[in-house]
Amino acid sequence: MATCDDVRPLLGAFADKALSPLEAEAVAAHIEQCGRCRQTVRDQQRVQHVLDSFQPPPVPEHRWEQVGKRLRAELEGRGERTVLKTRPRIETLEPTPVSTPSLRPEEMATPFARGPEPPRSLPRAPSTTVRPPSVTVLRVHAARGREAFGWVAHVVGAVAASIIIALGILSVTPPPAGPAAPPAMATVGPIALAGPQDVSILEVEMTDPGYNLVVAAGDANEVAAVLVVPSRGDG
Amino acid sequence: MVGGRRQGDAADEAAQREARRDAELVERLKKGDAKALDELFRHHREAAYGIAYRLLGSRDDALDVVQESFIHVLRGIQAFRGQSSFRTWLYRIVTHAALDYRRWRALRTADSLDAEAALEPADPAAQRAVEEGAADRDLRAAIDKALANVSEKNRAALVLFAIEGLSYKEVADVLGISIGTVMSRIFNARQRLRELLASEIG
Repeated sequence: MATCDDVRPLLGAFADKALSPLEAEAVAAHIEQCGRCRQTVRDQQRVQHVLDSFQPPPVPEHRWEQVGKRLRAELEGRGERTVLKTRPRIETLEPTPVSTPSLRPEEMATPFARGPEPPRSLPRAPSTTVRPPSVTVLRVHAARGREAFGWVAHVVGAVAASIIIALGILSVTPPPAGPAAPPAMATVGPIALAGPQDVSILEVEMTDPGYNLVVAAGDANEVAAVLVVPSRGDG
Repeated sequence: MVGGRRQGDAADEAAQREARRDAELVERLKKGDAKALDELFRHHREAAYGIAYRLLGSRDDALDVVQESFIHVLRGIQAFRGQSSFRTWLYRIVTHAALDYRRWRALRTADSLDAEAALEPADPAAQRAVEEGAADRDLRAAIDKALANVSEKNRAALVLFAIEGLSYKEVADVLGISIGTVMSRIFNARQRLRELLASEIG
């Protein structure tokens, strides 16, 4: 007969009648003989019974209407784009065209509308750089790598990113006339990706005519920064 | 399954009808149809609110999360390919948004007293509109408080299954974990609640 250790992981599902007939039969046979596990099933059912009757406080209709109006404004592109307190994730957004609003300087420092600053994985631009560019992330794409090869991909990805950034910096030439503004590192994140087991390929575009995107950088978890350079004056 | 959870072919058919209706509304929404947005919102707002409320314990915060979740939906709708049902996709967004919001709130709220105060509905008119007994309110407050002391992962699984009525399989889909893990998280969450609510449920 099954032991307590065997059936314990199944007791909750047994209480919910969510086991297969075979599993349910094994658990039923065990709890007939075991008072402790029988009591655990009763406890699970009792808690569930309380939860079944647990309703959140109702929402007045006018509050729903306010939310509905805000959503319609978002759909129609009216009003200002909200900086959300919650972050879209790869797993929540299926394949992801993620948009974030054009970031004002203060939002670069504090991506949450009202919150403290979360930790960064890349250093911030030094204060001596040109005016903070406005960056719009149009698309963040994460390709899920096979977990077994995740560490290999991480190493390859890190090396590739370093090379790309180095090449990007070396390829920057100043505009032909006027004072040359230096490249700037603009923080646009954090835009959370799926998790450390994922290999991320980031595609970031920007729409600020004053700057051109050189490369996006980040780690496996978020887009942390993009390197941008001033455009040559024809954009 | 317990407590009004879906059972049998009739319920399956109803769920399939809902999924087909949602898929149609999603296609219309992709074309910018505001009525489709209204309908999707009306069909799913209560469930989204239920999940958010049970993860946050505050009506106002839950409403914020519902709004943000639907904004995430709008911003991501063009990429939604229907690999999962709209409902599963939405619940996943709401769950993660509520957990994010909770972390954000924890960073922002210096002490737990503020969080406790947030459990009280902020709108007195709405509160008056709620015709409920003191005992119900006490029990709800006790459950809110107990849920807040269940670990985040276990609470999310419990809320989706035991309160919102998703199946183990649906919870696994929403949270991206195995059914075995769902079983264990729900079991552990209820065991923890059993300890925390000992005086309320005997």
